[in-house]
Amino acid sequence: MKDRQGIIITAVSGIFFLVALFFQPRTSVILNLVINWTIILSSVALLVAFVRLIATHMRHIAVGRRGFLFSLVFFAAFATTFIAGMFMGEGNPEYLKWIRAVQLPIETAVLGLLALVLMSLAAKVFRERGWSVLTISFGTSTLFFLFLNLGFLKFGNNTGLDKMIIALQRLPVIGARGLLIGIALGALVMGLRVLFGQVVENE
Amino acid sequence: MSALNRTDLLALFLTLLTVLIILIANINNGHKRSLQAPQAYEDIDTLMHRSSEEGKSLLIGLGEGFSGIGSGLGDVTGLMVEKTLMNRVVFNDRPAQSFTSDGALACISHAIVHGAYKDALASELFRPEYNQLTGMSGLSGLAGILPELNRSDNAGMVLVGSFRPESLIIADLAERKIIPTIVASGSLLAQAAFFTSHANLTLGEDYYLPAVGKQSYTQKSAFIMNWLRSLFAIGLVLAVILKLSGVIP
Repeated sequence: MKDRQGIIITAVSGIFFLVALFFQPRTSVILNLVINWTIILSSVALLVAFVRLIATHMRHIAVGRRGFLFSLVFFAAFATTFIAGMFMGEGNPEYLKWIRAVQLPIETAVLGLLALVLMSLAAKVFRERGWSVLTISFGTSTLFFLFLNLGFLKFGNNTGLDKMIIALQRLPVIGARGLLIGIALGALVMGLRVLFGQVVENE
Repeated sequence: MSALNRTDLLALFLTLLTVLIILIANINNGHKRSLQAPQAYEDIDTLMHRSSEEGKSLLIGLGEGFSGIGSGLGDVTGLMVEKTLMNRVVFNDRPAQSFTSDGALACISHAIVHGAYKDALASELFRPEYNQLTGMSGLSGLAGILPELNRSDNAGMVLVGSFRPESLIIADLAERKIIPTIVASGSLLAQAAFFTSHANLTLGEDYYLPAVGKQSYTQKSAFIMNWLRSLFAIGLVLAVILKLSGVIP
């Protein structure tokens, strides 16, 4: 019975939201109100999750778990950011500059590392996945479109070859759209089945 | 009634068509032909057995999507997989741990993990750290998973949910630590990035067929999606013919 109540509430609110989405701008006021509720709920959920994160790290330090030094670093960073934010205000340009000075180099370093990882893995893709139609087409199309999009191949304005190159450059977008249609279909089917309570029913 | 534009009408038509096919699938319960489930999801069973036999922990990454604050499209696939997985590994020597980088997802995931222990009448075995928020954004979440993955007592890693291509660093570390990894993501960019790794992954809409535990949900979803795919293909070919023949301006 408890499960059924949940399913009914989910289904009614989901269908209401879906219908309201189609009949804008007449339903905009209600839609905005519901979206604001969702944002407030998400923010509260984030706060709850964050308090639990702090509690978990405190426990790691208290029991001296392996790697508890990371928890200490986390606490130091959190306390500094939080206290500075409270006193200076989260919109303070000096505070934001200070945060960015720490965050940007770290994120850039992660992206640099990712570039290296991607290069090394791309070189190893045939060893990892073997020689198959999928891997060969993946490897050759990556190299082909990488070269094509460098922009070296230009034969003058509106020549037949230029038009062909532009058409070829569109191929990855066409492929991505095909895959996205499939993914969107999957999301639609799953969303509607959840609305009808079929996920719970089948578990 | 407000006037619907062409895109809204198309969206409404697709929604109604999907509802119709779901209803047909529900009436047509007797279809016997079993459809092939995605290999990546089937391999989660192997990881669960390995985790039980070796007494090692299983890590579940749920990504950053649910509340819409993250960049990924929110969905419930990860939570479905987590529920099935948690129900099965409650009494393992080393408990499974799940990680998220989204507040709402972390709270729902907490309810699922706690629920699994409660259902197994083993609430006293539950610890809050079995379900953790690893960060407030995709990159900080990624940074939070890496130290957990670096431990020696992990049997495998299951990444299911919204991930960025940057999460490839997780698969790379798992490969170096010889930890089998399964990746299921709804993000096209993440799928392309993970394809270069050793991870067992789902491609395209296979992500929405979580074949873990009972297969009835997956079988029905596959049946519905096959019908929709066929109708879409026919519709697209028809539209191309009409466009080329000048019927559609």
